[in-house]
Amino acid sequence: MHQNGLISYLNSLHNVGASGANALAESQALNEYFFEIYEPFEIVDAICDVLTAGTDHVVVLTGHAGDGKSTVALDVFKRLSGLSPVAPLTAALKEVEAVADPANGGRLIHVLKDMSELSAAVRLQKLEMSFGEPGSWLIVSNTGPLLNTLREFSERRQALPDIESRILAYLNRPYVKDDIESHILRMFPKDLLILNMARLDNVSLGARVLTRMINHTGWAKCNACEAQSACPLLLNQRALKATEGGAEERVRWIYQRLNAYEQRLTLRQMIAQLAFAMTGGMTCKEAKNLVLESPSEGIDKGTGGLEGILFSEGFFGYRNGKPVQEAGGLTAVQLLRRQVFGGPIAVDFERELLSSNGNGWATLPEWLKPLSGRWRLRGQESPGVQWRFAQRRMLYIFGQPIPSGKAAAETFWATFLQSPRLRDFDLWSSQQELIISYGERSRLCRACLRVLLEIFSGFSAGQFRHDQERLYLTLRRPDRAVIQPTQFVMATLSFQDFDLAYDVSRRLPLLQFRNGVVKLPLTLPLLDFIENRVSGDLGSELARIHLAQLEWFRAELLRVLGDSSDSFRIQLLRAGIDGQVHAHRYLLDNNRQVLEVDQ
Amino acid sequence: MMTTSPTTDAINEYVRPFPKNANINGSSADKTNSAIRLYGRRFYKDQTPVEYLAEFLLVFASPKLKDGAGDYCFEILAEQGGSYGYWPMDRIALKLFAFFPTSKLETRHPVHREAYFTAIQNLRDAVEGSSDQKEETIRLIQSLLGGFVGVAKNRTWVTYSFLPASKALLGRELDWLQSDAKKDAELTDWEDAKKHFATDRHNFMARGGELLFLQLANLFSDPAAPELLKLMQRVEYRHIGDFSISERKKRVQLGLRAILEDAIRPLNDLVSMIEARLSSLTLKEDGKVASLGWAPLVSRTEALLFAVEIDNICALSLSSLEKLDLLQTLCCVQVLRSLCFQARRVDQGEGDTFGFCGNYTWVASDPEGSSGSPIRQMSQASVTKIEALLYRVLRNKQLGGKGGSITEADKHGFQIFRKIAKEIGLMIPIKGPGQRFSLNPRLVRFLVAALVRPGEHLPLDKFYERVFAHYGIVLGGHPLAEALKWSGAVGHQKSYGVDVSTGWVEETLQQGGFLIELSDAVSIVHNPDGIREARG
Repeated sequence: MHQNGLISYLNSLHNVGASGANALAESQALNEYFFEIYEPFEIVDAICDVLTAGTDHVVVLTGHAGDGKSTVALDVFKRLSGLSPVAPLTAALKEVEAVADPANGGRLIHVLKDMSELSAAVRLQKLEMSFGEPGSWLIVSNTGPLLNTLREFSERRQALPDIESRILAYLNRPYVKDDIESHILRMFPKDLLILNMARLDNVSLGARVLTRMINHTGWAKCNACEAQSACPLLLNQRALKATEGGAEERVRWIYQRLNAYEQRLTLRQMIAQLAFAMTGGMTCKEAKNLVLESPSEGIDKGTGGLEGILFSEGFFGYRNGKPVQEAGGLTAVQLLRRQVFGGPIAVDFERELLSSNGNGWATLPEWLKPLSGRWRLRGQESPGVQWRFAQRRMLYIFGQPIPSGKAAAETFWATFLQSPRLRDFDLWSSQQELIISYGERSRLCRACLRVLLEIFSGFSAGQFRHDQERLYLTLRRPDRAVIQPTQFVMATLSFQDFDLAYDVSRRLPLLQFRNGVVKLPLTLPLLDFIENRVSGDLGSELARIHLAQLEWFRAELLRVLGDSSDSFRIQLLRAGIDGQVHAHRYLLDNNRQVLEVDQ
Repeated sequence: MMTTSPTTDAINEYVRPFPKNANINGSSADKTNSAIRLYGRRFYKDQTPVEYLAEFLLVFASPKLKDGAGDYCFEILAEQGGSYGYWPMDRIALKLFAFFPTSKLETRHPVHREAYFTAIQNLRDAVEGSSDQKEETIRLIQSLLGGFVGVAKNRTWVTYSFLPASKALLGRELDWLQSDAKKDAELTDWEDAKKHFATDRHNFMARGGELLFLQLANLFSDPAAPELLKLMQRVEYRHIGDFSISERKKRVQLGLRAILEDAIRPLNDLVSMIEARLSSLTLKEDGKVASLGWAPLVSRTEALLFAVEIDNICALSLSSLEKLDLLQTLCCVQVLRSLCFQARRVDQGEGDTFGFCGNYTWVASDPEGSSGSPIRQMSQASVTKIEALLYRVLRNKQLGGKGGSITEADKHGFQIFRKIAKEIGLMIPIKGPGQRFSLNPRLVRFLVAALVRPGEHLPLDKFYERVFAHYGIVLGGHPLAEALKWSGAVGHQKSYGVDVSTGWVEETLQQGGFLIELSDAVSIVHNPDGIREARG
């Protein structure tokens, strides 16, 4: 029986089941399906430029297992050797490959594909060679062995004592396109370029892989198959394709959320999750048998199979509304399971979920209609919770908002993602600027400052006047051992001195004071916290890590203001019996030993 | 257990005092109390953490000579007769104004009441405004100062202490001798009452902070001490060598002074104004000298670590109150560390530790860890061993502790360890069996602040090694092997093959924003430097 190799390839990319053979770059390099799924990393160009530059460089590439180090090294090798970037290699890379510099034939460029595989002594020897012999080197290594070797290497040379701290700082630096300069450490015989792939933003890259999977030319082989009209695998793919990029966007939001709240995923982890969600672990043969053996008619022949492999279920680690145990092996699913996605949104959404008229704000792709109907019926029964959850997940991934349903869609997404600011955050991150209307910008800036006012003073924002326009920095005890009903104001800052900006290298919006003299990075959890506070949710707690950041911000503001405040002006904050906070101002005349009330 | 006792000469060397001319016969306890002989004069069990810090800063900031010289420095200056001490403020008027209304009723003497009303009246005169405004202002200032109370407990107003948030709030201990006063038939006004305020009791500011000051004064008095230079050569202490000891002195003095003086100048001015207005209520115009005890000369080593840690904390980009909070923990840990360092010098029954010059170990375990886990058991064993050491050393014949004095020595040289360790959360649980060392998020934050220079990046394993090198606290990595070896010296049976997860430390570090994962095998501890970070 004829089978589509793309399906077995996809199934080999995840470790749910026994055939995870293609997960490593070494085997990918030789695979025909790989190149349509893979999108070259931007840094390949930058690395090639450095390696072929006039002076010799040593480029060190490190990162998590699965971040794409070996793939980048492979691309660089192909580029330098003049091979086609999309053709599979005929043989695997050797430990060290020497390539003649295309710009200067007399010079050699070495590619050491995995230094961490070597013994400590050999590692050091290779590093000595890379710095000692003429030519440029690209060295790929895991971080631990790399650090040890670099440490040993610099100790031999009696380099600066804080060399390790500096290397660590370089390893921690995020990479921004076209800014290779800030990654070059000039302390060794050759300039050392340190790139950590773990500091690359791979969220959009990962999400784009989904579109590449959906549009892969390998699906064309299915056209000849007798089961194609109702094949569950194809139904899944067609439904995703029908979202016209919507699914990629929804997937990207989820990755953005994981990145900000939990931890960063490696590219390999994302690919494994996407591959599992595409096939649900089902093989081509199984899909075909299901269709051929089904007693139903038309597209319904495949609906039963689709139930078990729908993308929106597999992506979150579910099947038919129930958690799939094996999917727990996927890191991405493990992290997603720390939150429950698909809980109730609001009463009106819930009513629509069960109504035969369907929901009033989004349409689902044609291919999913029978399945959606089936789940709706099941969801109406009292034990139907799992189906209602599954329906919401389906709506999240596949739902295309209709023109009149934009507002409802916004609410649905924000609640589903449990993060009111995520989509803005994602937009800013992909556009690398703060895209926001003037009105909204000023509202957000004010919201940030009111929350700061609350945290810095300990009084709740509601205790201040509604048109409060000043931020007070008070002398507040960190131990909170004693209530301080009256607080000494160390500095008063006008709200007008603050505005919002965007930090491209860290991909974060900033709250900045006086055009950037002091900056507070607004991470997604912090933004969400602010948004929730403003909408009146007092229950949410800010994690310690963010509170510490606010502390730094306050200390920095005070440091910058220095002695600029007049020391004879004294200002106290005190909550009255009505709870309202009032500022009391005095002028202190130390010569006359008099305290004057400042009217 | 085999305990090889050092010779009498060696013991004399270990207890040799700093300063040289220490007045050791000041009280009989100086000679008979083995805790005082061993650790210096003196640590006292009931001193609270705030009062350790307040006393330490008080000695540092006060003039060391009658003419006002020697403020803000870690030096001992001798008066012409050779005596040494410091000249602290008593802040009695400020305390009366701020704390009298909330003080225990039965200790409010009528004379105090009268004085309090005078104080209020004087301050009313100092406020320019309507009668209501005067009233309101005084209440506000009172409530403001009340917010800076350090320790109140069940005491009378004059024994309250302020949080040492600024120089203006640093004052010596004062006690009101209530029973004397009651008997005094002639006591009718404030002038008569003055003699019933005692300055020499050291019940609360019990010289623990003085001792910490003396340790540093000792360290800086001989910046070229060979054992310190040798220590700074050792791999695990190389980071200390960034600055010479004399430079370190300057940095520490400037750093602490900045916290006390510059950070909140307007508050200082306000307090000066109040004190000036209430000058009629002070005890003695030009203050009164306070005597200082002594510290063991050999305590230089732990003093050096202490100095480096103060320097790191002062260099942080944090508000002064946050820094003081960290310094308070540091003072407590320094007391604990000093006890163990010194005890190990005299008691040579245990082995040395590689990678830590204190030659003891405190094995910390996950506060939530199950009771059967090997690391928790090690941690419990480590508490037992440390306590046994502290108990045993006080009974060393050559220190001469016996009879009634040994009960006192036990309180302030042995029980004090458990008391302070529990107060800061280093030892848990507060009550019940299974006493062990652990760390709470506050202590983890403290460790980063004290040991990692602002802006520095340190691999996690190196951080563990540094924590060990400074405090003997064992979290994981090499120090754990060292701790196993050290406890093995007394035949601890479970001392091999311990599988230890340091996940709890990493998680706490991560939640505090101090841990950066570089790749799955390598994490770094980073002490964020506000100045650089905030500017981006």
